Amino acid sequence: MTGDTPSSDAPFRVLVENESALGLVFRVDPERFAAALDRHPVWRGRLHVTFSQDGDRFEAAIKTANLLIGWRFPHEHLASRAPCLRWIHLTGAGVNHLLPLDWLPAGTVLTNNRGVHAPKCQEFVTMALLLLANRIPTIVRMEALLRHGTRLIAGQRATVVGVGSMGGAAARAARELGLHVTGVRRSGQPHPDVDVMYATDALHTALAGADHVVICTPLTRVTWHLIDARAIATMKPGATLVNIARGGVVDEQALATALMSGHISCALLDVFEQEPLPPQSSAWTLPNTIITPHCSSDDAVDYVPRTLDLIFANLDRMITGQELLARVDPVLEY
Amino acid sequence: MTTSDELVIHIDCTAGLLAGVTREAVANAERRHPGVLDGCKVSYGPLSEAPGAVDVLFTSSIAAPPATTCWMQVGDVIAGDPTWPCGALLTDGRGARLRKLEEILLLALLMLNNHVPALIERQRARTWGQLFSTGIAGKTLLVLGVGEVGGALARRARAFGLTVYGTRRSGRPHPDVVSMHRGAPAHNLLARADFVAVTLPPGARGQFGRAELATLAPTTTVVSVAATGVVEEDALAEALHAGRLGGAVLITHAAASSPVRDAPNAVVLPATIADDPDELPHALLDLFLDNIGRFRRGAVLRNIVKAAT
Repeated sequence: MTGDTPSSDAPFRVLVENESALGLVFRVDPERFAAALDRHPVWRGRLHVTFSQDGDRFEAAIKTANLLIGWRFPHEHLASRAPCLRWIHLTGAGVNHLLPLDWLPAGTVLTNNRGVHAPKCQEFVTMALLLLANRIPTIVRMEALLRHGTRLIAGQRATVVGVGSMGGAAARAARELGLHVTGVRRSGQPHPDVDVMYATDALHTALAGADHVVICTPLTRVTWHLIDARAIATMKPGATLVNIARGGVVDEQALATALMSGHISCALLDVFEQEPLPPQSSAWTLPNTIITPHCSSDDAVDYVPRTLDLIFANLDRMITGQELLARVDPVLEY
Repeated sequence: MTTSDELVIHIDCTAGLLAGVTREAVANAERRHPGVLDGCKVSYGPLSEAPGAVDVLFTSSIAAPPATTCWMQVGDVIAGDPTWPCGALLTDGRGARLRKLEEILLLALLMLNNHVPALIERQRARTWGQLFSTGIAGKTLLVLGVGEVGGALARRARAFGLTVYGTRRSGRPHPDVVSMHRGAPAHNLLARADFVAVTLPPGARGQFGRAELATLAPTTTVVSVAATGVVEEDALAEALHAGRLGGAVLITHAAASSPVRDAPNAVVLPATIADDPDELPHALLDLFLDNIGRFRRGAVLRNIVKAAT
């Protein structure tokens, strides 16, 4: 980031756009902002913050804003509407609702909430693996009487598709339960909690040996329906699937077919192509499946404080001329 | 016993949990317990084909033993007070499921922390209703009856950042329990727990009932793996229906008939969920051979259900 560094006489102008529909967990309100300022006192008096609710103050404040914090906002012709905008922070991880990112003004940096979800994600994946390994969806849905349990989870194999921040947390969850962890990521770069890492072109190889497959990859043009019928066919018969990424990464029809045939023995699904899932959706009654309505990794208490800590860490980096953390690459779309 | 040094043992590995136990598996178990079977005569096959003078019988489930049998070890966990028509010693398979149980108890805590029982109901109702939760680390677990199972849970829970309180008859400390209390839990101990795990022994009938439930905060959740009768299930179901309890996961031998099954925010799991088909036969063989060693030394056996008369 260049120029426009804040000084005491010209405060850095921040616009916070909140959406009521997202609920309290995600609300960056004045109280939480003040608490974050107390944790980062060097910024006291140096920020001019406007809080907009459902767009009520957005249009006026975007004209002079240097930083926009939000999730959904009108972004057409943003460059001309927001001439001072240097940085946009998205208070979520998957940016697929804003794709393609061709509206992003030149010179404006886009960051997201990667990393904020990691601790809660790790706990959720621990639960998900234990839940699926023990066939809880089958037991609670009373779809079959199981005469005995399953083998211990330690020593089983998990494959994490998309080893970024959430995928890293998923890998750590699996490893701490004693599973062998295979990972898939675009770069193919090793990760400390992954035993064997593959690049995306070897996805099918990585899926083949897994007892449990955990989907953590962002939804982009490249990952749409990455887990399609062919990918599912390479999975081991009886394997399980967790999706905490985005519904569109998995071909839902192919998944339904595999669940109905038993090729995938059970699933835990947190995300769907259409959210909220409408009452008439056939997903509600997928066999051997438990649905959590997109609430796996957002910590009810810590989500906004951790979001603001990331933003303040980036403010510190900005004034010292360092590259911001959690940057979204407009070409890679994550 | 036929002679002072020859013990006739019969293993029925034709059915149930012991189905598929091979002589090789027994030989492997013997290597883990060297010398225990020296001087023993071991036969295999259905109970009806057991040799005439069997001293010791090892079967999956409780069955009437031949008249000569002085001790019968079964693989099942015997809940309640079984009909036992003879004077032989009877031991069961509890404890052999420890590693698997500990995994399931950890799962139960995580399911409750993540509101999974309530989300399963919303799924049944086709309702998209998000329930967010905060991480389990820093929350409080009270383990009632810190024995082998409760102790294993305390260790796992502590590794997840929970603060673990406990009770046990002796009051003896446990490395994973920050403060251990003797006997029944005090009012304030129950009142401040985020999670209560009931791992009391079968003899503790009715020790987790209406009075204990009334002390809990309405957000507290309960996990039980205790034998039938230890938890007053009617009172538990009532508390759940009334919203006086945050949720429950019950692991029981009588899952089908539990009143908690129809209660909100609850999941009832059959106790057989802890029967790992690969590992359990080996764990049961270990338990059996350990008990044979005790039997031959004249020591007290593990898991006595009925003493010899």
